[in-house]
Order: sequence, then C-alpha cells, then structure tokens
Amino acid sequence: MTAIGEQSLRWFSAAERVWAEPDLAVLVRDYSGLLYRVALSILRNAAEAEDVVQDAFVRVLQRKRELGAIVEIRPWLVRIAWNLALDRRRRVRPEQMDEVFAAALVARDTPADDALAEAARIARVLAAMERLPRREREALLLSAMDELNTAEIAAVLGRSESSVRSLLFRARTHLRERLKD
Amino acid sequence: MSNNHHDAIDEALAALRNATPPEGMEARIADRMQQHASASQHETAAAHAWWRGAVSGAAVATLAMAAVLFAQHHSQAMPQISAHAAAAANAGAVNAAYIKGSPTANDRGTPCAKPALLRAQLSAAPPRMELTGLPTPAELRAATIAPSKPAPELPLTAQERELLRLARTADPKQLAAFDEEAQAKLEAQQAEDFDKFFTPPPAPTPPPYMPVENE
Repeated sequence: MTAIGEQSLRWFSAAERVWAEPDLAVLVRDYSGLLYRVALSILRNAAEAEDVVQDAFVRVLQRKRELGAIVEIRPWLVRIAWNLALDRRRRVRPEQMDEVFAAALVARDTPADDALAEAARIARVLAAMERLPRREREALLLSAMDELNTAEIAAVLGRSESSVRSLLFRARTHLRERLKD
Repeated sequence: MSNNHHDAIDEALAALRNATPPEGMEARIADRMQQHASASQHETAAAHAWWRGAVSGAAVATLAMAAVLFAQHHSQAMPQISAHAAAAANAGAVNAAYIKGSPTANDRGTPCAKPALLRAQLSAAPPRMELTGLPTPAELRAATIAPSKPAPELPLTAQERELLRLARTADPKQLAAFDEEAQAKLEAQQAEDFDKFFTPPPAPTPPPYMPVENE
C-alpha cells in the first residue's frame, strides 16, 4: 500500500509527461518559423538563425516545468530567441553578409535583372538600419514580424506600448533620412 | 522620392517577414531536443547512480568497520579466556595428580564430579601450579640476558661487488695489487729475475803469472 503523497507525486509526474510531450511538439510546429525570422533579422545568416532557434527550444525544454505558468507564450519564446540572437550577434558581423543576405531574401520567381535591383535596394536599407540607434532598430526589426503586435513587441523589448510606437515612428523617420543621403 | 524610400523600407521589412526557414528545420530541432533530453536523463541517472553508490559504499564501509572492531575486540578477549581455560585445565591436571587414588584421579573427564572431596584434598595440600607450555621464570631471565642475535649481513657495496668480480676473473697480478704483502713479494721476485738476467758476469780472473824462461 503506497502513501498518499507518493500517489499524488506519481500522478503529477504522469500528468506533466502527458501535458509536456505534445505541447513541445506543438510549440516547435507553431513557433519555429517565427523564431527563425526573428533570429534571421538580427543575424542575417540562415545557419546561425537556425542554431538560435534550436538553442531556444532547448531552453524551453529545460524549463518545461514552468511552461504551465507562462500566460503569453509567444512573446516569451520570441524573447528567448531574441536574446540568444543578440548574444550570437557579438560573434558574427551581419553587415558583412548584407549583399548575400539581401540576394537570398529576394523572391526566387523574380526575373534576374529585377532581382539584382531589389537585392541592392534591400542591402541599402539593411545597411541604413544598422546605423540606427539600437532601440529604434530593434523595434523596427520586430515590427517586421506579422505575428507580433505592438503589445508583444513591447513585452519582448521590455518597454511600454506607447514607447514602442514612438520608437517605430522615429526609426522610420531616421531611416528615410539616411536613405536620402 | 520619399515614397520610394518608404517603399524600399517596406520592401526590406517584407523580405525579412517572408523569409522561409530552411527545409527540415523542425526535424532538426526535434532531434536536438531529443539529444538534450537523453543527455540530461543520462546525467540525472549518473547523478542518482553516484548517490546510490556513495550511500552503499558508506554502508559497506560502516559494516566493514564494525566487523573490524568486533574482530579486534574478540581477539583481545580470546587470549584472556584461553589463558584462564589453560590455567584451569592445568590446575585440574595437577590436582588430579596430587589426589592419587581418589575418584577424580581416575575420572579426568569429570574432575569436579565430587566437589566436596576435591575441596577437602585441595585444602590439605596446596597445589603446585606448573603451567605446561609457558616459559619458566628462569627461562625468561635467561632470555633477557642472552646476547642479541647478530644482525643479518648487509648487502655488498658496489666496491665489494667489483672486488668480487675481479677475484673471480682478473689476473693474479692485478689481484696482488690489492694485497701489500703479495705485491711486495711479487716485486721482489721481479727484481730478482731482473738481476738474474742483467747482472754482468763476474770479471775474468787474470791467469796466474807464468815467468818466461830466457833460453
């Protein structure tokens, strides 16, 4: 005859296993693309971005016991990937990859001449983005993700929504000015 | 112009937005998570095994220590018991020898078969305690004043080993160099041989004077 405490412990561990295993797979399926784009916008390197996504999900696995307590899972995941990408960005120099990265971003069905021109334009914008103040640049990059609304961007950046809106406005203004030069 | 820049910004942001993840990324993420999970399971199992091993090792060490302590205690208690038993046995034997003709003399298997009679005989004649197998005081005294056993021979030094090797293999002349007397004898022999060889022959004696007669 087992004690009540042991029984409840067994029940909790079984419940956790049943809950955690499918949930992680669902998380990977639903959010890996978003996390990849977030990491790519910072790192501008596909392999590095994928490594960041893998690291992010390993972190999730390490904290799977806390998943039940997380209300907003998407900003939480994006924040993990965001911080990991920022850490990794110190090792790689994305501005060196702008030409190749811009060419890779161009749609494949675009004719060759148009693709070259489009890649040049994108590279120019990316280079101008690099010269923006850090907070404005980060807000602008996160705003590129359709899945994230202003509140979620604010949660990722740890700022208020109004602050994020202000940052986005200033970022666009500064970017236009830099592109004019 | 401003619209162009605005479009360029939107174009770049749209390109970032529409970037597609590489094929098979989800599978690779799943593999990585699986690897991590199995590695952490191994680590956890190793940690548990370590604790289990430590606890069982401590238990075994405790048992071994208890066994050693018990054995030590037993080995200290046993000689006293055996000495008492030997003394009692010897006393019984001696007493039996004294009480010749008594039933106890014939019945050594039951020396205390009649304790009243035995007590009476014992009170009449005090027993002589001669413990067989134990050294007498005289022997002990002799052992204390006996000369110590000589220490075992020390091993040969390197020089001694070299000398031994020379004695077995070297020329007698070389060996003689280590013995002054033999060396002196050898030198004297050599000098004698030299003198014998090189000593000039004795001068020829002049012939006796023979006067010549004048004819």
